[in-house]
Amino acid sequence: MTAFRPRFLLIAVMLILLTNYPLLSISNKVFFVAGIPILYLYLGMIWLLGIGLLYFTGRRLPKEVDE
Amino acid sequence: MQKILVVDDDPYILMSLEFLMKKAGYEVMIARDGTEALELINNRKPALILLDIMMPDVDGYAICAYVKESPKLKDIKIVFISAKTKEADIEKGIRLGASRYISKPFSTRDVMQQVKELLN
Amino acid sequence: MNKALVVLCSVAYLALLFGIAGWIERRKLSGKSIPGKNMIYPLSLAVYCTGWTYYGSVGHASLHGMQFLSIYLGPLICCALFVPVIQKILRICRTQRINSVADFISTRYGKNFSLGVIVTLCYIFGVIPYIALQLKAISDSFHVITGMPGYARAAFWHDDSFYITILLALFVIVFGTRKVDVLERHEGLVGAIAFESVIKLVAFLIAGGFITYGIFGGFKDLFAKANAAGLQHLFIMDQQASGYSTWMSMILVSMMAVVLLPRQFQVLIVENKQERQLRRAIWLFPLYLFAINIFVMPIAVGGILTFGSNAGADTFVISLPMHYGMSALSLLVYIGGFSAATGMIMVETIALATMVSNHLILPPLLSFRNSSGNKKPLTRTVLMARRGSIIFIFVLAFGYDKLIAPYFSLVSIGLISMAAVTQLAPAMIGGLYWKNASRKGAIFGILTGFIIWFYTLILPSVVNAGLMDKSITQLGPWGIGWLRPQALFGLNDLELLPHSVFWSLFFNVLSYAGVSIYSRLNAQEVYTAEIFTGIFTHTATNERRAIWKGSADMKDVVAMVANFIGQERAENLINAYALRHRILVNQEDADPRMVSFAERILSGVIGSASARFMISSITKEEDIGIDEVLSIVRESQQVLELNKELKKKSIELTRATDLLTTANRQLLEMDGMKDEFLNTVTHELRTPLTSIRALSEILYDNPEMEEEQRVHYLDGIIKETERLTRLITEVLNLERYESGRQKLRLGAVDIASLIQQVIEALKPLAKEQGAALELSMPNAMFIVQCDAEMIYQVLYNLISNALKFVPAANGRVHVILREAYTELQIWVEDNGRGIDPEIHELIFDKFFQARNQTLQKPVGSGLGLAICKRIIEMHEGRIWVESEKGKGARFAFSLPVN
Repeated sequence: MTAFRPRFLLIAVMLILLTNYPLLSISNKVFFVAGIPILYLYLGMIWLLGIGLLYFTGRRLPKEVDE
Repeated sequence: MQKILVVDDDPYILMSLEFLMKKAGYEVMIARDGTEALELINNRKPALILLDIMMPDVDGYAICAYVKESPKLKDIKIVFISAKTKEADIEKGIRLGASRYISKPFSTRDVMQQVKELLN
Repeated sequence: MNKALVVLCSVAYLALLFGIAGWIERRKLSGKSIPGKNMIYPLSLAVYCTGWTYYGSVGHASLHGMQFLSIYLGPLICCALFVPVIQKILRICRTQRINSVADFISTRYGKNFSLGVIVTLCYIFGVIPYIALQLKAISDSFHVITGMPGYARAAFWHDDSFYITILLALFVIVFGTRKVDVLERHEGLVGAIAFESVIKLVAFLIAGGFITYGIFGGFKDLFAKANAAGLQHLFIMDQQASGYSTWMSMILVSMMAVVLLPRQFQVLIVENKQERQLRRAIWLFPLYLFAINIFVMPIAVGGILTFGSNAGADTFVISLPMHYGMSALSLLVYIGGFSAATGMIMVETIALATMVSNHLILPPLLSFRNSSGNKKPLTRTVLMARRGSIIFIFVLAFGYDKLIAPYFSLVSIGLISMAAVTQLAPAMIGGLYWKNASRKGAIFGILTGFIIWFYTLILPSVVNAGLMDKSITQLGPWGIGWLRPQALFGLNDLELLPHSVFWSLFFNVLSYAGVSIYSRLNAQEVYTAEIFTGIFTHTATNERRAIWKGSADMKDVVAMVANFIGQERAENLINAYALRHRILVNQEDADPRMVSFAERILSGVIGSASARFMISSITKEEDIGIDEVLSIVRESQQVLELNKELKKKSIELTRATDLLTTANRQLLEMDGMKDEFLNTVTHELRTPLTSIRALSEILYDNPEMEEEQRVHYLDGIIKETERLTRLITEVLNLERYESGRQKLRLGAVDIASLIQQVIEALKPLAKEQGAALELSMPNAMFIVQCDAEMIYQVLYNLISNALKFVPAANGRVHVILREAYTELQIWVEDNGRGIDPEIHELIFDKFFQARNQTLQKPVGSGLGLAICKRIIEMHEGRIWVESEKGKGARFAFSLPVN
């Protein structure tokens, strides 16, 4: 499992950067996309992206044998 | 008169063997390669073949095997004359049914002697 | 709604939870598996969502817009770190039998007793308010749904939440303190928690769905109406720096909280059965959080639109359905919120109680018993301590709820708690990765962080609630302005939370790192540091090595363990361990490894500090020095290193062996080829010899031969002799070129005339073959530096070859001289039978002849081509052939001109 450490760290760093200032400020405006506030959409998408990444990376983990 | 077929791709060797066999009183046919040889074997059925092994198209072993497996031809006596002198080569030749195996360079007297023995 | 109905439903729900927990435990006992058990672990993590999620989020959203989401984004990020970080914690806790954060930190820093106490106290201060918050949420929602106004501040036995508290305490005691589990797992409880996670999600989704699609026309409609009503500010966050810093600090503390809150540590780590359960958790848990938050903003907006203001926004999720007469739905929502709150209370209490019992109550109790010589079984004592702790916590929580909570908002309490537990993060994270972190450092760090947390977060809240004099926030303590709790050191750009988080962590980390660097570790600390930081590499070796010197009676050891977990279980565990590590159990003197194992078992029950204490009370220990510890640890590390080296070396060896085998094979092949080559050469030599001998013998034996025939024969002898000579010369030549003895004799050569010389020499042969021999070259003079003799030989070889392989009729050999930039090319083209492209490279090989021999005459012309190649190479030119079968061949070589 330790070989996957960098992948997860990357996901974590990516999520941190995407959900904070300054990237966050891009969508932190009163703006509507198809009637939905953009911040709502942005965060929702990042969220689902994160879930997806974690799902697919998690699938590749070897079946670890623990004690 | 018994027929002898001489097969060799070297012209001088062919010439010498032809001379020798004619002098010994046999009817001589010559072939410069395997194809010619096969044709003559099938059409003229010699009593004995002086057979070189290393030839451009069909090699001597194949011809020997062909002859010995054919019910009509298997009585033809085969004498290999070849520069291949390893034990294995000789063994192979004998196994395929040759009556004699003579190495090059050969002694003409020796060749004549062996042929006479085989055909009488 | 009828109060009795609501109470009935609440009690019924709790009974349902009881039932589920009991059912699970019974099935476990009878060995049957539980349906959906793969989902239990990830769902149990959702205990993170409490009454705060149900009510507080909506309230927060109605005031501060999207900011509430940060509390749930933090866990998402943390999940990405589950595999790197949490797995390590899992491994440590399992091998060391650690069952709480206090135990973790205490064990890590040398099984230190005081750290356990400090951490436990921090948790009490930090988390009791959070528990009280749940009680408040329950009573608030209860009041909304039953329509009772205001906040009843009657005597506590009239207060409904009192009875609920009692009920919950009972539940926790029954399912949390059944037996003393060595690993502190409570399967029934966890199953019930997973169930309630589902309930609260479903309820919230239904409510959200109803409000969004039933009352309003969907998301777009809601947002459009909100826009029209001037509520746009809710769709964004505060855009100033202070807004972003609050956001970021909320993300940070929620990241820490997902692991460090007692209930989270409990479900995430203590209740974890297999490390691979993490796999599903890392995406399912964020997905859950996503789902439960989708409707928060719509509900908030819907509520404001319906009621005209955001007053009472906390309970919009109940009041909205009620407003539209959907009483069944509001009851469902109430149950959902009830579920969320009770779930939190149960797990948090158990986790907290474990810490209180192990680190605050038992140690003095045990030492008292020891000194008073009481030898009675301790199982009951431990359980009693636990139950006492649970009751104690409930009392505190209830008291806090009644006395202090009214002054705080739901959300702020939650955040304050998270900020408190964040103070343990440096010691925790440092403990995982930094070997030199010391006990003193941890103590200083945690205390400093905690004090600053208290000063910058609790104090201002207390002041704001009117319980304290305002002067401290306005003027600072003793009038010192830059020590004001909400603007420490003059930092006044930040809101309360980020300000506190920043300063507390700043000083926390500073003192933790600073003190650690300057303090020396004792033997125990070194040992535990090694174990923790190197858990993945040392796991195996740890079992085998015991850092313990001394003597102990085996009987005493067994008795001690049995004291806490019962005779039968103690014997089972000890025997199993002995079997695995091949230790004799019957001997009097306890094997050191056994003693360590016993200590670990006890750690699982009473915490490592107490376990240490108990074990040392029955053994005569010798002080083990740091050097010894280090050397033992280093030894095992060395063994591992050596192992790694060995593996590497063996891989290298295999590789080298493979290389050697290949090389050997190639050599043998070459050998074989050389043999073949020799065979061919001798064969080639024999043929002319045969002719010579035969012709000679015939001449000798037949003197009467005709003159013409005799001349012919003699001619043949001479020709064959020449042939023989040529062959021998070629072989020798080749050998000379191969061995590098041949030297180039360069001179200025007129290529054109050289070619013409060769052509002249070969005209007879051409005539003999009946072939036409042509030459084409440009009209210039080409002088090249080369060895004339050698190039002559090359030309001779190529052209004579071409002539030999030309067809009998219409044979044509064309020699062309071409100029091409930096080189001169000479082409020899024939219209013979061509050469198979597969062997274009091979025919220049001197060994190629041999290999292709088998039983057919050589293609090519003896060694000539090999010699040509050598010659051309020596001239730094190239030689090659272009040809296809049946389409003639074009040989060419090039000579560089400068």
